[in-house]
Amino acid sequence: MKLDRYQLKSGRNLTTFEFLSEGSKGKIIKLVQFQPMNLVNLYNLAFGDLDLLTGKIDDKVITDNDDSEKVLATVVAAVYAFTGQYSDAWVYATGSTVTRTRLYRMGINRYLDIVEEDFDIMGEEQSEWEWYEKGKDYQAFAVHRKNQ
Amino acid sequence: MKTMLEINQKKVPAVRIDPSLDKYNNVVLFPEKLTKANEQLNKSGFPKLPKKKHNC
Repeated sequence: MKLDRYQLKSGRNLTTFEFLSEGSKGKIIKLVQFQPMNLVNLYNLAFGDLDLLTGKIDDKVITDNDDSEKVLATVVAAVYAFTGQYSDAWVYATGSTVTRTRLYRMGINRYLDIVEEDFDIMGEEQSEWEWYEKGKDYQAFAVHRKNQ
Repeated sequence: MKTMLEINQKKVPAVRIDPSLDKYNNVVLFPEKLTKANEQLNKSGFPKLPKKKHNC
């Protein structure tokens, strides 16, 4: 299955990606970054809107551009690009709010069979990590690209 | 290191390389999110970076 998604741009090291969300509120520049964490080969996935007026990036803004599914599919595509380049990397992800984390969990659950074709996926529940199972109330996720 | 061509032929969409985005190299764009993630990591730790899920 191929979900509709936006064209991604990246710098040469494939750690920061940019795309243009186009919806009911107009055009919004989105940035996705894989940030090295305090553990080797573990990267935090973060994304948000670039405010062209201030030059600041906001990962809490509710854009409401009526394209959330397409935006998430594009972020997933960035995960493919990043982990394709950095095959040892684990990508850690959690929402900036409880609501967003639940949104991500719903997205993972919906496409878990497809996700598991290409990624090992773990979930964190009450500070314990385990292999991801549908229906659990995970607060964070971590994925690792399976060998190609 | 894989080339962009190799990456683009797989499930990954064509990613346009834009050198202007190199300005973000080594810049933490979401510092609060990173701090929060590292704090959570300190609490929960992380498994010994398991390489594979075993189907058994």
